[in-house]
Amino acid sequence: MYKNLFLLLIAALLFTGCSTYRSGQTPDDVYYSPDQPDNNSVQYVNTDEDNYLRMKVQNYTRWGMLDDFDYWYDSRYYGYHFYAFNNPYSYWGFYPYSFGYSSYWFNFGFYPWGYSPWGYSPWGFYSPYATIVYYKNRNTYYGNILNGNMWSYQNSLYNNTNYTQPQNTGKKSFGSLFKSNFSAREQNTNPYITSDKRNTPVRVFQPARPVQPVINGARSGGFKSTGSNMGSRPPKNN
Amino acid sequence: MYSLAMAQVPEDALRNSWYIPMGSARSMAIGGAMGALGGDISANNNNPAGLGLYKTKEAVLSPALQLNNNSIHFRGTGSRSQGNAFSYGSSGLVLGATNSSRHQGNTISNSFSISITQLTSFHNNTYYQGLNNVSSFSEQYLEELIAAGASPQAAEQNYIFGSSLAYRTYLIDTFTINGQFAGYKSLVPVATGINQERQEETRGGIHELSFAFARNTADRLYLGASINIPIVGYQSDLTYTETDISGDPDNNFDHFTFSRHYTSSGFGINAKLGLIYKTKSPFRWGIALHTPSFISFRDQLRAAMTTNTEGYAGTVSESSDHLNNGNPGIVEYVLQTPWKAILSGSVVLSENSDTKLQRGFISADLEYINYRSSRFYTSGSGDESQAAYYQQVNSTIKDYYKGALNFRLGGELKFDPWMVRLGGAFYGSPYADKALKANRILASGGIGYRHHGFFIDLTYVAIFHKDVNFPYRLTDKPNTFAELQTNTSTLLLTVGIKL
Repeated sequence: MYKNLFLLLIAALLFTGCSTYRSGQTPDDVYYSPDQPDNNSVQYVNTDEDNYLRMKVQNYTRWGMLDDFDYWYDSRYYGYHFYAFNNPYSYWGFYPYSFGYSSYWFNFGFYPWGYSPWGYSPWGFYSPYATIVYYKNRNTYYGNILNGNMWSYQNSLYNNTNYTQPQNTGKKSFGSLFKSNFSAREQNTNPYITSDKRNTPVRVFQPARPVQPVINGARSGGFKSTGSNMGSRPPKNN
Repeated sequence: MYSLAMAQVPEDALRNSWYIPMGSARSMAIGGAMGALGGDISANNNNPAGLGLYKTKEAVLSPALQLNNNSIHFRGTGSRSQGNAFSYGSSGLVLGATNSSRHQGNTISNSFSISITQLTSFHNNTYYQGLNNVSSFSEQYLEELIAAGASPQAAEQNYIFGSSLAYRTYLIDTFTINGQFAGYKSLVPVATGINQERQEETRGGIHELSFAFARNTADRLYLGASINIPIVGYQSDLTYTETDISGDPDNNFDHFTFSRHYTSSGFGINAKLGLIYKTKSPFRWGIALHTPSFISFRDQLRAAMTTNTEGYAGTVSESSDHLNNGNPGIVEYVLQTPWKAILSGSVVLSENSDTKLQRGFISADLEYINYRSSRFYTSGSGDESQAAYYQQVNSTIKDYYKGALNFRLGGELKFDPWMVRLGGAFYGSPYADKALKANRILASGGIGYRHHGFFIDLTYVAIFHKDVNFPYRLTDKPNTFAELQTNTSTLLLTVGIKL
C-alpha cells in the first residue's frame, strides 16, 4: 500500500508541482537559503491600505465618515486574539507574512473550512476585499505475579556450549550460580533443583512454602490470566 | 531480545528506543549527522533548529526498500534468514519565509514543517536452531509455578498464555516425593540433549508525525522545537520447538511446539528542542534535547502449544483461545522511552548564494541516550498487580540497561548540480552486562542532483546490527542466548520540489 501511495505522490510532485525555480539556480538550504518574503501578499494588502488612507487624506469629510474601526479591528481577527496571533513581534504569531500563509494560495491559518459566503475567497481572509463575517463562539483552538521471571535478568551466568559430561559439569556450574544469584532472596523462593530418574528438570517447593490454592487469576508477564474454567487436561497414559 | 509468552518485558522497552532513525536520503547518506547542519526536513526528528535555515518552501517524499540478511549463531550452529520490506524516510512539507520586518536590523525568518517518517522498521524473519543439553524452554514454566507456589489446579487454570499450556499438554507435570506433591517436573530429557529451534516473523515499525517550528535570527542563531506523535505498530509470530535427539521412543518425550501471536500498537507524544549557532567562520554548532516519548500501548496475545510425550500422554494440544473463550489476552499500558541529548558540529564550505560556488560540508553528531530511563506505567484500566509487575520490570530495566553514546559522521562534496556523500555511524550497546555484545554500525553513501526547482537524492545505507537473543530466561541455571548479526541494506530515495 505504502509503495503505491508513494509512487503516486512522487508522480504528482514531479508532474504537477509548480516550482518557482524552474529556471535559474535551485536553492540549497543547507548552504544558503535565499530570502523569500511573501511579496505578493505584502504588496496587495499595503496597496489597499494605502488607497484607503490616501482617500481619507485627500477628502476627509467624505471618506472620514467611514468608520475604519472594523477594518483594523476586524471581528474575525479580534475574536481570535488579534494581538496575540497577528502580532508580528510575537514569536508564535500566525503573522500572515511569517509562514507564507499567504492569502493567495495557502490560507489554512484560521478558517480551514472557509466561512466566507463565497467559500474560499480567492483574495483570502486577510484581504480587505474578503467579506467580514463575525462568528461568535466559533473559536478554533490551536491553540503476582511475578514470579521469578524478572529475577532471571539478574542471572548473568551464561552457557552457550553443551556439556560433554553434562551431569558433572552441570552440578558444578549450578552450584556457583545458585550461590551467587540467590543469596539475597533465599527466604522468598529458592526452588530446589533435582532430577528424577529420567534426568529431566525438576523444581520442588521449599518445604515450608505454602502452596497457592486456585486463585482467580495470575499473571504471565504483563498479561493477566483471569483463570480458565475450561475443564481439566486429558488424563495421561500411565 | 527475549521472547516467550511474556510481554512488557525490558526487551519491549528496548525495541522502542534502540534503533538508527531513518531520515531523508541526504541525511542518511551522511550517517544521519544533521544536528548542526540544518536545511533538511529530517531536522524535525534530530535538531528542529535546523529548520530555521529554511527561507524557502519545499515538499519532500522519501520511499525506501529494505532487505535484512540475518546470520545467527546459537550454541555452535549457524543459521541464515532474510526479510524485506518497503519503508519510507522523512516525507512532508517545509514552509520557510523571511519576515518583511527586521528586528534591531537583523534578518528574521520563521519556518514551519509537517512531516512523517518511519523511524525504524520491524520487518524481519529470524531463524535459529541448535543442540542443548543444559536447559530447556520448559524450565521457565517450572520456575514460574514454583515461584508463585502454584497448586496443580492453579497451574492448570491460571497461566493460560504459558505455564497452563505446558501443564495441560504434559510438557510439565506434577512431581511427587513419597507420594506427596512436592513441585513440578519437565518431560524434556535435557541431559540426553534436545534440538531447539526458533523462528520469528516480525512486522511493523515506528512512525513519527512531526510538527516543527524554527526561528532564525540574524542568520546566526537558530532555535527550533517540534511536537511529535510516535505511532507504533508491532506484530510478532513466533514458533519455538524442542525435539528429542536421543532417538529413544520410550523416554516420554518426542517434541513440543509453542506458538505465539503478539501484537502491540500505540501512539504517543514527545518533544524535541534544539539550537544551532553559526560562528563567523564556516563552523556551525548544535545542541538538541529529545524528551522521552510517552506512548500508550494496547497489546494482544494468543498462544498455543502442542506436546508429544510418547507413552506418557501422547500428543496433546492446547491454546489460550480455547481457555479464554476465543479471546486474546489484552493489556493496556504506557511506555516512557529514554531521553536523548545531541551535541553537533559541522563545517560548511562556502555558504554562498551562488550554488556553483558551494563546495561541500562535513558534519558530526555525538548523542547520549539513557536506555535505563525507560519505564512502564499502568494505564487507566491497570490494577495493582499490574502496577507491581511494572515496578519489577522498571527496576530490572535500570539494572539491565545503561546509557550509551552514539556517534555519527558524514560529509558531502558538491559539484553543482551534483553532490556525492559518504557517512557512518556507531550506536553503542544498551546492555550493562559486557558479556552481551551489541552495537549498530551504519555505513552509507549517496548521490544527489538539484536543479530546475527539484532535487533527487539516492542513498544506499548498510546497517550492521549485532545483538543477542534469549529464547527463554531462567533464574537458577545458566542462560543461553543466540548471537545475531543482521545486515540491513536500505535503498532510500528522496524526491523533492522547491515551491
